[in-house]
Amino acid sequence: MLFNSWEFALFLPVVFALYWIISGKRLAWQNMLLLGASYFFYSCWDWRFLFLLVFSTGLDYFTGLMIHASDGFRRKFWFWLSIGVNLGFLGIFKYYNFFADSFARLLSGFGFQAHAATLDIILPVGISFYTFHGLSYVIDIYKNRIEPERNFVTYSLFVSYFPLLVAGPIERATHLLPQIKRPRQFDTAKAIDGFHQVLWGLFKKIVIADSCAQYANAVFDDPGDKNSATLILGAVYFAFQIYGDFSGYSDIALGTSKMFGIDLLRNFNYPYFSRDIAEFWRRWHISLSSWFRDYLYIPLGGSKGGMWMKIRNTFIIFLVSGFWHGANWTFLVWGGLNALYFMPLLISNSNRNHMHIAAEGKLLPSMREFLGIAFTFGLTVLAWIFFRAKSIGEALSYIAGIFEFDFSDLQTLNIDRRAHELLPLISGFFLIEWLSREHEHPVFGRFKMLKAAAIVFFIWTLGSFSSANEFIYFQF
Amino acid sequence: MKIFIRNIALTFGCALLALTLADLGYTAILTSAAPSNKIALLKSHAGEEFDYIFVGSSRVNNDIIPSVIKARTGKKALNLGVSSARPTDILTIVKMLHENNIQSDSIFIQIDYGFNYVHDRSKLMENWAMPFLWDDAALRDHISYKPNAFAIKYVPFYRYAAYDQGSGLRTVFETLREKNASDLRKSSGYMMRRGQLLLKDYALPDTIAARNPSHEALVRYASRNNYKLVFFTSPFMTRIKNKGYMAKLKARVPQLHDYSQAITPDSLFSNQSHLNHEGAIVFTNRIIDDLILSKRKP
Repeated sequence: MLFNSWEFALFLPVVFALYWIISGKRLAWQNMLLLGASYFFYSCWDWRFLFLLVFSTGLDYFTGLMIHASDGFRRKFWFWLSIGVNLGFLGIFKYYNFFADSFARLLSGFGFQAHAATLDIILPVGISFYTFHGLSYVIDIYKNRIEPERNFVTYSLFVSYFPLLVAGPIERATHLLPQIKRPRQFDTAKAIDGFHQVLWGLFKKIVIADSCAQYANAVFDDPGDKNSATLILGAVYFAFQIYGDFSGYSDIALGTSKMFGIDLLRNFNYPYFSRDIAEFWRRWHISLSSWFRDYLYIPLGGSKGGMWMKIRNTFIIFLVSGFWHGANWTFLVWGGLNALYFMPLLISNSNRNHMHIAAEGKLLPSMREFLGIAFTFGLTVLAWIFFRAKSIGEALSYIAGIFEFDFSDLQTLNIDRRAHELLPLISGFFLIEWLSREHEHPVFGRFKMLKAAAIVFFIWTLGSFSSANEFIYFQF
Repeated sequence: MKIFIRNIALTFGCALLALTLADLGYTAILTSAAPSNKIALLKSHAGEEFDYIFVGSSRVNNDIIPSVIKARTGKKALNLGVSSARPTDILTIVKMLHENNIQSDSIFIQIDYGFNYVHDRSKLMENWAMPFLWDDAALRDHISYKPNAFAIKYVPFYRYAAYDQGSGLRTVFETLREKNASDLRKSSGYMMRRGQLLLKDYALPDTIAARNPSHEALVRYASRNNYKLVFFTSPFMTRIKNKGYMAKLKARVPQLHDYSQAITPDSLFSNQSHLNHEGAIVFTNRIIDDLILSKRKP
């Protein structure tokens, strides 16, 4: 069930009504209802993987209790059991084929005949996200940051809560569990705000991401006969596609959750207005970046231990972050490239220069800010080419095409559209985002209801309904 | 909760009002513009009389030249060929001729391997139908097979959203700019193909459908409304494979005039199954000689 489907448009009001009206606002009923709805939501993709989700939940619930109740070797045993099984599932379902194939290629490179024993493994949707929920919970208990949750329904809801189940944001027990355990009363302002955020998320997905997807796919699927201008436009369209897709999903998730009285972690904060790459990573997929910071970078020593340690740790988290996105060398290169972008800031100790949004309190950015934003966006777009390409060779040839500097004409794509036709839409979207950058979404201030109605209108009139796509991050 | 529900209702109410206005605006623009597609062309000739109307796929669209017929015979002809039109689409067009009171001595129906398509329809024609949905019962029937037919018919603007690639904002802008202004009326529906593309191997189907319900419905409809139908097959290039298909088709449609191998050389083709402009002139003259001027005149 996609957030941008008619099924979800029916599912959400039904669960909403049951939650606030029929459950009588009793916490236990509300949580049971949300858990049941979440399992139904998940089983709409593939009910068989529900067992994996329940098993993973049960394992972390049980090991969490055992870690808390034990000490010494037993404590370590339960901890590593949980970590091993969680990462084992992730490894099998997500990375087995990649490693088998890469190992076979490596042996072939040394002259050995090797055939990869790959399996036709289906990736359970959301496994990267709910595995990280479980991991953070178990690690927090092991590090004595939190107490284990004793109510199985409460813990299960923390892992399986449907707005965040399949593509995040990756929540923390310290943030979400207290909200699940607290009685929730209907808050009109919060629910309306959530509704508005859902609408804006749908706009980003249906209007921006799906429109850009048509153009970006037309360029990336056949880049050979495209000139530099078209290749640049294709990469920019992909940058907006992935932003509209993933931040749109996150807005729908956050907005939906607000309607149920639960705040989720903010996942995007206008990343394309970042003035350097460090700021970009504080604004893009925030819940994953902060997860890696807290559970990988800091345990590795973080910024303590000298410059080389900082450089090593930074490369590790960017490479792991790239690999988290998928079992392909292109994602590793994408992560590595971002680490390289980060290096000058790290070495010059200027990676925390921009902690606030650009041109805060002003209408326009300074020239310095503008150049910083443009340069950072350019670097990001370049890295997205590796993210989008099917192979490193394809990405390199795409980039080589850009550097032929052929801007001779405006090309027509094989979707019977001129390559530049989407620019007015992208520019309009960019402008709305700029004017809203100090708020969570554009529906703020006066005339909120009319603004929301305008979003519905534009979703309906500008949306790309005949070529609707799944959310990109479902595959991760 | 009441405030929340009222807020949502008002939001959707305002949006619905704006969408209704947008639907009316789109419809007004697309229906009043000079016809740039075959449905609009048909609608623009409502109430008129023709001597010959040609209906079928792109193998009518690109192969029959009404101006040549007019020049040689003085007769008025109209080309209503639609790319990828199947028997179901052809039936709808013939029904629309009746609903729009367009008279014709004979309706020429191009028929070929499309006979095998029992359920398929032309996506393009569905796109073109959207602005005229409420003018013609035949068009409403035509899209009734779709799971979202109710929404297409009754939810404001949904028809344009669902077919945004063919009748969305871009089409409206182009229409306003009159990018395709009146091209089709000038040529009476004929759309020429230039030059000769690389000819590839091409094969007709091995087998033929036992029956085609839309074709049968067309024959019944024509009989009921006293339409004189003339079935013919447009030319294919010479090196086409499975030529035996035409004999099978002739067995299903005995009145068929088979021109599948009537035009040579292959240089008169734009591709395997479509004539270029020079080929279309030759073929149209052949139709005039055989079916309009000769004793085989229908």
